[in-house]
Amino acid sequence: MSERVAVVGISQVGYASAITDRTLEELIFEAATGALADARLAWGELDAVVIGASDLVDGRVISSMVTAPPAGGYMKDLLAVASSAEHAFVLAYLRLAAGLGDTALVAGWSKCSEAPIPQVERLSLDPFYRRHVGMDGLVAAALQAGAYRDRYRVPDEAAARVVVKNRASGARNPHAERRQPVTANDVLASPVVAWPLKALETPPLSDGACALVLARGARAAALRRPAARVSGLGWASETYWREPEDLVNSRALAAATERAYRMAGITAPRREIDVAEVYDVTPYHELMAYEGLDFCDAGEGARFTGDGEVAVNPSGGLLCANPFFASGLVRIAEAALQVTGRADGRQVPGARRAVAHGASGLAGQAHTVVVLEGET
Amino acid sequence: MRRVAIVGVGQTEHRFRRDDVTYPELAREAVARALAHAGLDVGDIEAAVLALAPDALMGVAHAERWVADALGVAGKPFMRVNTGGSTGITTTQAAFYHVASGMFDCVLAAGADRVGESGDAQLVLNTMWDVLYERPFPLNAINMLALQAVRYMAKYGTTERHMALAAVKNRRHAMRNPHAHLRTEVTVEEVLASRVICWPIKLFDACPQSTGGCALLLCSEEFARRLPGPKAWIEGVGNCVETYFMGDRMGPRAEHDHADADALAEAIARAYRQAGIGDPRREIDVAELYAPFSNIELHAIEAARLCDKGQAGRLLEKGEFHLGSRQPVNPSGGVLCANPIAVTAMVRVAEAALQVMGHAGERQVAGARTALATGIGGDHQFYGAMVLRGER
Repeated sequence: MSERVAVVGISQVGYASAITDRTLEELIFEAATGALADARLAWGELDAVVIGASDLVDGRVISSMVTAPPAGGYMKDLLAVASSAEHAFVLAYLRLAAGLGDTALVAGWSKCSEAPIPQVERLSLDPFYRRHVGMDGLVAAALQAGAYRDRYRVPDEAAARVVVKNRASGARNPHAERRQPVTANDVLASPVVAWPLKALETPPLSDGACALVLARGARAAALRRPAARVSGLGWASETYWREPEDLVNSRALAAATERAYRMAGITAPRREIDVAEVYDVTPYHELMAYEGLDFCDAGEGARFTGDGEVAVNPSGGLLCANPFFASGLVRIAEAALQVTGRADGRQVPGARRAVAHGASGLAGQAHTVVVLEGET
Repeated sequence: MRRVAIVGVGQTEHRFRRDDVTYPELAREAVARALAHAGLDVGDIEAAVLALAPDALMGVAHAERWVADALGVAGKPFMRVNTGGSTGITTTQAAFYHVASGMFDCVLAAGADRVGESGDAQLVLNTMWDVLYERPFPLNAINMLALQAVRYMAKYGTTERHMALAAVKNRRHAMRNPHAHLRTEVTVEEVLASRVICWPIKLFDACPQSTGGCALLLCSEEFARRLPGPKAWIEGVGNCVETYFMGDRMGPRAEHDHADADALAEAIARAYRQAGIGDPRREIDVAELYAPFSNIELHAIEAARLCDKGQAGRLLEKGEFHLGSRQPVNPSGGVLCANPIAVTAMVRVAEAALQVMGHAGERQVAGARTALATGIGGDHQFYGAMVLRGER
């Protein structure tokens, strides 16, 4: 594991509430060719492809069959990961770190406008005990947000502040679906959709695709592209039966964070990390992520502002664009753009080290943490 | 690259249905057997990769979350792979990368499937195809491979009798495998007289719908050396992807011919290259080749370069590839005798590992040292291969 692995190419297509002029395959092809072009890498030089594909979100059995070729998979060594797109990133990293191949392309996507997401989420519950309850992602997130809010007496205004911040950031991100800033009053006055969540505290469901090119060692250097070195990785599963007492503090996020920081040699994350792209499926989840990523102590999320220390979700986060199955991979892409100084209007000045956080499943049944460092 | 060994193999008995266990319990059964085989405890597992093919066959969306606790991975790194029928081997490859990367010393690859409960799997598998062009045809996994058989017969003069010989051989092998689902012998005449499902594929040319689980424990060399049991070293790993549209494998503009399995040959060639195998006819002692229909075994044998293209049927007729011959293929009975879809290709790796460990019981190939395992997924689209070596 001596050789470094770096992100050397990035492309995002979308995000929008409904992209009707291109098929899913065309979105994926656009993202994959865009990432290869960004890396200045020819398709023929690519050693491996790892895609993150969900049969249910894509609406087909073995949906990787139709998505692998536009992702560049024809006659390539390709693996399809079905748990989340950020896991595809992790697997591509592991393959390169093992010394197998010099380059790999990772792709993730969702076309939520054509997918019954709440139904997919309900079907993920076991058929015996919990499916009948009718819980979907929104309800699970609301239960979690409510538990967090109650335990630490989080004022509504603290959640509203996160929305205002992220929407202001999203206005500077050309890929964001929601690009209009909102005020705290707008948030507080929006209708409750699943208590305690108000409409403006829930993310959109977006169409779009995201692709990254990873390269190893000398091959990465030879490309002479802005490189975001992967210096830490951690990922972990939660229990399936998320019990009320552990809804607030995720041991999966704690385990993923611990592994990623240990690998990256980070001991004081608040000081050592410049940018964080976190899985803000609601503003309460962003506050919980501050704690899970060790920027502050448990229960202190509402008081952590990050000011002058860690800029959180300069992209606007999920609250501004949420291509469901790919949203964790998008966090990694945005973090890589930041540490290579390529985030344009949303660039955090002087960002050198960033952490990306992805989650999936009901109430975060899996978490992934990736640390990226800029190299010139 | 770091060396990686399979040190534990667990398999349930594959049956049509298992009404006594849930999906997580079935997977746990296989994991417990793998741990017992390796002499390890669930606490030794540092990370896991789940093999779970179409969610629709399980009837639970993203059932990787449902099974997480049964695999003991709460709080640990865990992901799921799905490449259709090849899922079991691509999952094992993903676990291999976990260890080879240097991040982990002991990783679990596991899964289970309950195809016997999924109604007509072909109704589910029809939705693999394009909504507008191919789904109404209606294509399914059987007629797509019947098209392959027709093309193969036309190209090489292979007959239905050659296909039947593969089925007869595998059924005979399965008699020696307590894990196999179909454990009754059939004759060539019975295969030829069995009901036509989609010509030239007949009932006895086809795999069953099986319920079962499989688990493998993969370890680093350092970790493996501490264990007393035999090891199956992973020497070569390869993968390759065909076109999505089968029509792109036919006609004058096609880069490949649907009769052959060129992408499978390429996946195997990649694994051979990594393992340093130049002459597979001499160097491979036993092969577990993914073949859900008898015709697929014929071109899989050829893709593995165990014989020339178009020759597999004729060599079967001469007694090649049987247990007791020089180079047995599917001594377990193969996919034709058990097909728990999510783990079918992992069972190929498991059986190959048992062979080079010398733990294959009555189906043991004497002196087997080097084994090949393959998987096929999608519409004959995703191909995976692994070469394993024992220490004997």
